[in-house]
Amino acid sequence: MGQDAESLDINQSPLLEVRELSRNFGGLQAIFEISFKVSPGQIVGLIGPNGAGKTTLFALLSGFLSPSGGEIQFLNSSIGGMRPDRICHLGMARTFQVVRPFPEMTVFENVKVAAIFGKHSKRPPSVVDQEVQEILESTGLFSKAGRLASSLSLPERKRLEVARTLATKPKLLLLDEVLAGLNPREVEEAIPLIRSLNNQMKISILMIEHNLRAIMGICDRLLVINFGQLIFDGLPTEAVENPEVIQAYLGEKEDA
Amino acid sequence: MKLGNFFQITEKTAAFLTFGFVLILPVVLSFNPYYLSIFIIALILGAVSLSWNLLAGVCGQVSFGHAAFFGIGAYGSSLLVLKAGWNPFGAMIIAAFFGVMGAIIIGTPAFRLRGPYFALSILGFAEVVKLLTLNLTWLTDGSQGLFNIPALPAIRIGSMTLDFFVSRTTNYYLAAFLMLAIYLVIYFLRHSNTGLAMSAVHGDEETAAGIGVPVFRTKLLTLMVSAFCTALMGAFYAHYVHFLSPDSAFDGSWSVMPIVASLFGGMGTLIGPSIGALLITGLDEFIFKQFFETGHKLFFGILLAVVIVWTPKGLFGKSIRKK
Ligand SMILES: Nc1ncnc2c1ncn2[C@@H]1O[C@H](COP(=O)(O)OP(=O)(O)OP(=O)(O)O)[C@@H](O)[C@H]1O
Ligand SMILES: [Mg+2]
Repeated sequence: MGQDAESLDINQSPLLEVRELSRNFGGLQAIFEISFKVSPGQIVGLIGPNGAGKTTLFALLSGFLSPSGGEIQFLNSSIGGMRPDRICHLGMARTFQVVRPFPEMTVFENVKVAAIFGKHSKRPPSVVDQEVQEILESTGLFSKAGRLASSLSLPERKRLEVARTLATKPKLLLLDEVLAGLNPREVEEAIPLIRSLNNQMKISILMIEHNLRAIMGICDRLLVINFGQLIFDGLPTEAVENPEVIQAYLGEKEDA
Repeated sequence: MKLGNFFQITEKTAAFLTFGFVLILPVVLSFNPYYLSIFIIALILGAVSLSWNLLAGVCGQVSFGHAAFFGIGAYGSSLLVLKAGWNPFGAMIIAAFFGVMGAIIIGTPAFRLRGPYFALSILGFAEVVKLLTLNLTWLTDGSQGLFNIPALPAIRIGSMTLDFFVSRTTNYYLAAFLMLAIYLVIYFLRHSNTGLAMSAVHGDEETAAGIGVPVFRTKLLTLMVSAFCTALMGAFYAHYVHFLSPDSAFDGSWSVMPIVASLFGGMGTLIGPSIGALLITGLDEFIFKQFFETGHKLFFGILLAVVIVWTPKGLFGKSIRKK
């Protein structure tokens, strides 16, 4: 927080660099020539109206969809169209907007499978278990370790979603509306968690969020997309004064 | 009013009880050769059901064509013995690897596709393999089938001789041993890292891929193990009945009955499918056949439908806990 987005960009080679990325579904141009960078250590917010293409962009970055055009560079390798498990091994992991725990596995197993397969490095089982315990502690799920994932409440499932991606030891974490569906108190609890991932675990974050108040408070930089196009890339404080953003994003809110 | 509300046991206890029951069953049946032959088939079915369920219940990949692997094992082993003069025990193992080759041939393309393609393409695969067996007459004698398939050679342990040609009892216990071995393989596989990956793939393929699980490789490996075990049982079957035709070795019931047994015994458990196989055999033999000599299959079908609708997790699905 508080660091100038521009200066970060100049000083370090980017973690993620997206160049003119496009994806269409039949005639629908879901993502159109989007370019941006994420530098190490940043928390970048991604906002836009419903159906703007945010989740589609995540799917492209994490290998769940192949681009129709453009380039994605992550840690200096070109990852456009690469398989999701490979991209995960390189150090980028995503959460899903609609939480998807493995329902018939315990919370512990859900995280353990990510710890084992998320990284190539082989560790003895006791080390893996230790890692899982630590992640469960830091995400507040320790007391639920033995429960089946299907028995968790929504906020707990969201935590599990994050815990599982953390277990893959990502360098860049893609969070898709992890705060949505939480009540204000739960949001207040979740924000320090996201901050600590960035501060303490040194994970860069790209996060989609509809909760503007929350995202303004967390992010170093904001990307705004509308109809598949990037219409703003800059400081959160500047975004709220940008006419195009106001029209696209806030205008739509009024209609709704 | 489901069984799960009445008793709860662990997977391990259920396995001990099952194999304990299998061990003493011949005594209960007074070694009656007719009943033994019925339960030898039940054990073969039980072992195939365990293997089917590793793929479907653990890894989430439903197969409608396991008869393919059963028939490949049966024909493979028989041909190695009849045409190449192999020892039947060695032939059984190699035939099981033929099953693995079949798994690679069908799994490699089918698992690259999403959705129900695997379930359907393996059904087609079973049909193709059967047609090949019918038409490669120079090798398989076509629809005539293979006769005089040698029994497994007698095993001498000290002064004891285990004869597989005449004795139903030894064949029964070998079938039981094979089912146990297959169960143990499945049990330890499920509790390994690979088993965790299988479970994750079952839970949600996309998420599994997103956290680094090699989804394709996990599915293919599971199919290979399942096919190995199924083909092994097919090979055992061939040496036990001494006769094969494409219709018997690739009989659709080798595809269907493992599904039924698994649904009956509980797909969410590891041991359940073998309990299902023993139970449906016992019910059919001792109850339905006694009361409805001609229509027993029909009543049996109705009972299965009722059980499946009444308790989708299987009769024991809720009674057998995972740990
Ligand atoms: N697999 C798909 N096939 C066809 N169209 C799709 C597919 N996935 C997304 N779309 C379309 O692409 C557009 C962008 O969808 P996307 O889910 O990326 O939006 P979003 O910005 O995440 O919206 P929300 O805020 O509602 O989550 C939508 O019009 C959507 O209907
Ligand atoms: Mg979305």
